[in-house]
Amino acid sequence: MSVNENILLMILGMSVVTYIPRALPVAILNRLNLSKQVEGVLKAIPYAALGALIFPGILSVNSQKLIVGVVGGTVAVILAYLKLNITFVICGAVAAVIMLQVYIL
Amino acid sequence: MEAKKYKNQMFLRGLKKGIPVLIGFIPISLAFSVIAVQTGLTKAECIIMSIMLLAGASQLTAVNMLAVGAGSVEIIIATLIINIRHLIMSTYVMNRLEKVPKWMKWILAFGVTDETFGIISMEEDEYCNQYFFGGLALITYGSWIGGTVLGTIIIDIIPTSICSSMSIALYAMFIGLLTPSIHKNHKVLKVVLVSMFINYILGMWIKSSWAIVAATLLGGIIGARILEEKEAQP
Repeated sequence: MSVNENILLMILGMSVVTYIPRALPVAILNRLNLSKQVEGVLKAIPYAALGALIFPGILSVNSQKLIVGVVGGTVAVILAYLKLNITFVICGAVAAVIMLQVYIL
Repeated sequence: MEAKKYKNQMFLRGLKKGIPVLIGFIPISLAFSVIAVQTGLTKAECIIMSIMLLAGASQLTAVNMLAVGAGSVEIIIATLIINIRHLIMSTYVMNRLEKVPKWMKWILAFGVTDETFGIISMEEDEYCNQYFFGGLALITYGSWIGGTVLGTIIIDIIPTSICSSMSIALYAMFIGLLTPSIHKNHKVLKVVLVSMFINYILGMWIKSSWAIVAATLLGGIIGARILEEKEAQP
């Protein structure tokens, strides 16, 4: 169970910038109202962030065979579109990719 | 005695409402451990990360960025950008927990995640207290750490092909998180596609870790306009 000093410092930094957005409203609530424009951007940021995290990163699930990421993503979209619980979406995509990699490719 | 019963009931309800999060968090945190260890983090580092962060998207992004050789500063900036959305969520949650003592809010703030925010936002005012939110946050935190520890244990048991296949889990999670929003508001899909496009184009020129940061900011700015647009035709 070893811990690298640099990684630990990075985790510390990450924990600070993770806690700040969560705790800031406790400190400043009722003292500051965000402008409408800033609020609009913050509202869109999760969608933008998730979009950027999905693509093109999903293609790197198997960097030799891009189809693996495409199939996994398509299965996830279909299952999520059927309004299945997120757990089944995850399990379905994982199962599809395992079957594809182990039995077909 | 009555007061104690009330507190217990609220706490138990919070725990119960958090069960779907538990079911969702176990495989995600498990996948996080497996991917993180494959990337080169030690098991102890994985567990410390889960204890100190409780932030799925950030932790998985950090691991992904480490895998492509990103530095600590880039990762911390990306973490901040990804978590800026919690500012809005926590503002909302703290507003609804307004009667909670301030010192307790500092602790409860740590438990604000997409999931706990989503659940408490659907609850009636009577449940917006420290006991309910405490129960909800506790089961979320517990399952996150538990899944991480479990992942570090079973990584030696499960075959490598299955481990590598599990890296699809995080993308499936992101898709699963986005889809309900797209169902509710089709303009969200536009925002997602714009950001994907920006990320893809920028990724050809700059490091993918920075492309994600830039696409998130630019996508957020353009996305704000898209979300504010009036529907063209019914």
